[in-house]
Amino acid sequence: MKSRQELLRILKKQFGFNSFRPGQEETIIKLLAGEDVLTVLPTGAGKSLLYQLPAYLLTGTVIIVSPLISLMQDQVDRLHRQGEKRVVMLNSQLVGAERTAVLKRLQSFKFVFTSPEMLDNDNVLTAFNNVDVAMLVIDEAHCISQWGPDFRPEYLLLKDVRQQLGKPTTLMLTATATPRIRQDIQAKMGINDAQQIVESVDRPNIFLAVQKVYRQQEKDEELLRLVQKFKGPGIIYFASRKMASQMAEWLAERTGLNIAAYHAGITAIDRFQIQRQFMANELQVICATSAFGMGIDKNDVRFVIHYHLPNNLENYLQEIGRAGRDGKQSLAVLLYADGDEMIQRQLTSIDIPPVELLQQIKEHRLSSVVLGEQAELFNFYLAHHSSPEQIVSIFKHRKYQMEQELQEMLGYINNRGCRRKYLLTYFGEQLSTNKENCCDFDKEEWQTEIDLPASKLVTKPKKLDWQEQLKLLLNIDEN
Amino acid sequence: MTNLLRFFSYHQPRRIRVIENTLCSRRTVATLFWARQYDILKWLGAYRSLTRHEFNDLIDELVHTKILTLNDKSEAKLTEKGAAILKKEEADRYEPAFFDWYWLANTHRVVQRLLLAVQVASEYSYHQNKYAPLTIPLGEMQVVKQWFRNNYQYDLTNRLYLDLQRLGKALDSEDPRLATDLFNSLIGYKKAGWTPNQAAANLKLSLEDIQFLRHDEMLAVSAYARNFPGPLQQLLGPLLRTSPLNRSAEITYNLYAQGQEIEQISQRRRLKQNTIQEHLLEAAILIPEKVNWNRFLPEDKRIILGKAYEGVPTTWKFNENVSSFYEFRLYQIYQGVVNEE
Repeated sequence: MKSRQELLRILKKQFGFNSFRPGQEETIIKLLAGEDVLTVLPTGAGKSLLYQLPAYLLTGTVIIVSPLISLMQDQVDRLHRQGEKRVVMLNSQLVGAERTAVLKRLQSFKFVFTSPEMLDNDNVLTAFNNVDVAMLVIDEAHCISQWGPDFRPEYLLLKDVRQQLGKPTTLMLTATATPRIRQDIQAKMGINDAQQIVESVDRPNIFLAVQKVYRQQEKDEELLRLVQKFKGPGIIYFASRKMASQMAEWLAERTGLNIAAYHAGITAIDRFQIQRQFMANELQVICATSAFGMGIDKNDVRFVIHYHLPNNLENYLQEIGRAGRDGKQSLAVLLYADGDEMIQRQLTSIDIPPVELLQQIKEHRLSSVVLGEQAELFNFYLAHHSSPEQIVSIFKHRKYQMEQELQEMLGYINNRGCRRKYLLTYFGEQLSTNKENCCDFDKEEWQTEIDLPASKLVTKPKKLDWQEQLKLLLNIDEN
Repeated sequence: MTNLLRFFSYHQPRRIRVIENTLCSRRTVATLFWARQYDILKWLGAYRSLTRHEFNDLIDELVHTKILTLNDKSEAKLTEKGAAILKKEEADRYEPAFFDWYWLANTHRVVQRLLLAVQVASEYSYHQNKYAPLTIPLGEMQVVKQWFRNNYQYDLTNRLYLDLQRLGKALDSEDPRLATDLFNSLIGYKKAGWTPNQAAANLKLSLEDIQFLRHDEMLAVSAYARNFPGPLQQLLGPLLRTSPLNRSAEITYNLYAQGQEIEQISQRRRLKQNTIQEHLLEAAILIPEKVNWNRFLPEDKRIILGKAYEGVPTTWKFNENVSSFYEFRLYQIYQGVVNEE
């Protein structure tokens, strides 16, 4: 058992922090004692530290399961910035000889990031059997719950995977989980005796506001006004890539700020450059899509604006949680025009195929290509022993559930009371104290009354000629 | 705005898939043949990131806005409106300088290696070892790592500086925008580099032109690495091709040039005769000036074909009573080259 001093020493040495944030120390102590833990910490409260710190006290490799490549990449980059080089991503992008080479020397990595599908692969599991697994981490653990909005059927494989890995100490992490979903996570993982460490999802330094408009054009003007007033650093969420790109261009033109679009349609190199510029405040505003994971490690994001509403409150909370990680006053605004929910309905709609069709696919009399974009999802269920009737019933239920979630989102928008209270109630919490800068219910004139701390913005980077750029790049000191 | 107008013509209907496949470097003999006929061969691989979806959307939009017309054979032609827009754009658009080297390297791979290598060298020159490297495919990352290990003890910073400076001067004298963009888009210590959007805004070029500008830069880097020993050559040398032909076609071509017949080569290489003929067609299209035409298509054959086909080669209809398709295609290529001259 490590002493508190020892933990603090490593916290300082490896991560540069003087003290733990709520929920961190308890989780780490339990993990080091070999207990399985389910930890719910709000976005930006330091979840990755929960497995990174114990990794330096345990022998062996930490496996981190993550649902999205972009989330894995963010974690890998973060570890690199901390000077940790024994990190690898084992995902669908790694193929052929490269994958073989990585599997051969798996035990040389301290951190292996991977996806549930990958762990379902026999070669991969065999390779892990030769590895001393220090800990299994399930990131975004709510994906395992059918009750949750981000359900991913591949996560259901993780229970078996864990068994096959010899039941290593397991950490389940999530930022948003209602009590019902927490129960479900443990049940689906088959870890009923896990310790739960739950911190409030509330982010008291984020002011909550909804701005209703009547028409699209009005929304654009409202957005422009907000960006002009609050400047940044900020993130604006859109429902589509095209919209994000167009609005980034439009806003940049109107405000003179440096603004970029950031979504799954941009290349890895662009993504890297945009992240870096945003970190350095050379970019002030990022226009993003919700679907694209973004673990940008930036503490002073001052506002998050939603141009389109997200499909549920879990995602909303996660996305606004990127604001104000430094604890200073920040702002979350949701812009809403009548009928906006139709966009979400369209984006998330699933065409449920008839039972007969699924039956034919199951019997290989028909190719699953006929199922279109959803083919992979249905294939997964068919391959994992669900009957066509079960599948149809699962998806009907899912459809119903998504509509419920959207109604909750609309409930937040149309709520005539305290928005924070509404949010917390949804997540099974109570609002403890009324604070001053809470939401637009208390403070109708928030647009003029809320002041955000200023960040140093680099609006016009110095333009250097290529010779000077080159000298700067390679630290050449000659004239 | 991307419109790809420069690849279309007012007079000549052009197969849209040929344009797409040329830009993305999907090499088939048919693509290469038509690309040559449209005089866009040197754009091979100039826009590798273009997706089918994007391309289709673009064509739809151009048709919808009456800039292009599309016939039922998927051939497109500029309308009068389209031709007028093209004419207007010509003055401002970027004209590549190094595209004669189109075959030298896959610029997509060159840019990945170059960016990471410069980043690593830059961080090293500032004594930094805690940073997130640009993510490129693992194999490529390992190559860069090895390159760095082989070089860092030997004054890497200064040698790379001299390499890049010499390259920069060459670019600058060709077109200053090449040097400006390249050195502003490189990544390094406390330096994020221009995204394509930022380059477009700074250089007042369209996003599409930035695409071509950057392809041009990477061809120039490749040509530089081919000719000058130094850290860039060590990094990029293995990516450089020795001929416009693909490897297999090159082997076939060499055997044929040594005097072996198609059938012999086919047996020796255990490839279908048809494949061997495709290889030779590729040679005729890509290196017509080196091909011995008297061997490829002897004069008596040419006389027979010349009687059957006249006028613009792209408009000929193949007649199986006159020759094989292979000979027909060779003659088309031959006449195309003769007309060009």
